Amino acid sequence: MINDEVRVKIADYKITQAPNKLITVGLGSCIGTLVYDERTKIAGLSHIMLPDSTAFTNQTTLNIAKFADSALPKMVAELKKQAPNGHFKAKIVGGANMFNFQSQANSLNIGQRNITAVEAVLKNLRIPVIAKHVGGNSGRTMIVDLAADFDTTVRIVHHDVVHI
Amino acid sequence: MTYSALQLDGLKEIMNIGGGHAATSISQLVNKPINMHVPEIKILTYQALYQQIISDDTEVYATFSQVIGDLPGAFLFVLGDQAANQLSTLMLGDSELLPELKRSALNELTNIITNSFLNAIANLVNKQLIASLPQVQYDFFGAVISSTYMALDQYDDQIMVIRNEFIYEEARLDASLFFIPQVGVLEQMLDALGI
Repeated sequence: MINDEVRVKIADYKITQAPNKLITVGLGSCIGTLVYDERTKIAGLSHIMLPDSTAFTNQTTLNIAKFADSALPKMVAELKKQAPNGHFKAKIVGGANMFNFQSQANSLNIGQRNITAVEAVLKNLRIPVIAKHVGGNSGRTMIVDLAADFDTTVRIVHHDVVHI
Repeated sequence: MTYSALQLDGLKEIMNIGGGHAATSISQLVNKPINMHVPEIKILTYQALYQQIISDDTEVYATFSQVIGDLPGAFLFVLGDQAANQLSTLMLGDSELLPELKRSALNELTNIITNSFLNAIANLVNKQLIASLPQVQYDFFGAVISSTYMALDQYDDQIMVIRNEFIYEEARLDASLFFIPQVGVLEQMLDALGI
């Protein structure tokens, strides 16, 4: 069997099956959300940039995969189509506040708002968050090994590798 | 996001003047000639930015400096490992630098670059511009750049990349200065130039 690495770009999501790996790099305030089913060994990984699409719905070309509230329901719907009896679980990575940005308009920085939004959407979809590595002020890279029980490697520059 | 050829030329000229002053400041600081490419202004997707300019998983020294005043925005001075070593060595005359010392040198370098850039632009457009003290971070380029645009409320799929690239001893110095204006600021700059 071919063991492929499926790379998820910024503002995109991808669905694949074991023994492939899912990878997304350069997560700053963005969040990587893994949703997986252990029995069918299927998983989707999304890389969102923003919490909420509602302020942007007047745009003609809205990229659904960019926002937590639109990307995750769509990805989960596609996963359910492929694994109708799946028991889905999630892991989330990212949501950092790079450079300790101070935002004036909102009391919370964008990384924190992304974390809150992703957790709320997953709760709505009744998908439990099994593990997370979020916050702080460092960028992260996320590598999911579908063949190794969805072991998720989190890389942070100048830090030890973390497995969640 | 559309700009006419004339407007883009105007922005290029602003970047040329600002970047030219920045290059001169670096030269004076390290006492070596540092030059600059013609500035680049492109409207790119993140994907194209990572393919054409710096890949998202490259580890870089990124120094962030916020611009406050009449035309708010930010500067991000991005250096590869080699350029960071070259410049901090030139500044301090020692190649065996402690990491903290190197960071401190890069902070000071960015401070000088952004301020000379801003002074030049401020005179040109007759506005008051002040830069906050810079902060340096060693991290993935993708994480740094996307988070900076997000923090400045630039949510488009396509981003306007305004960038100066510097040259040292006829070799490209792996150093780029990104200017990230807040929404509406470019229009104000062009207005001030009468374009």
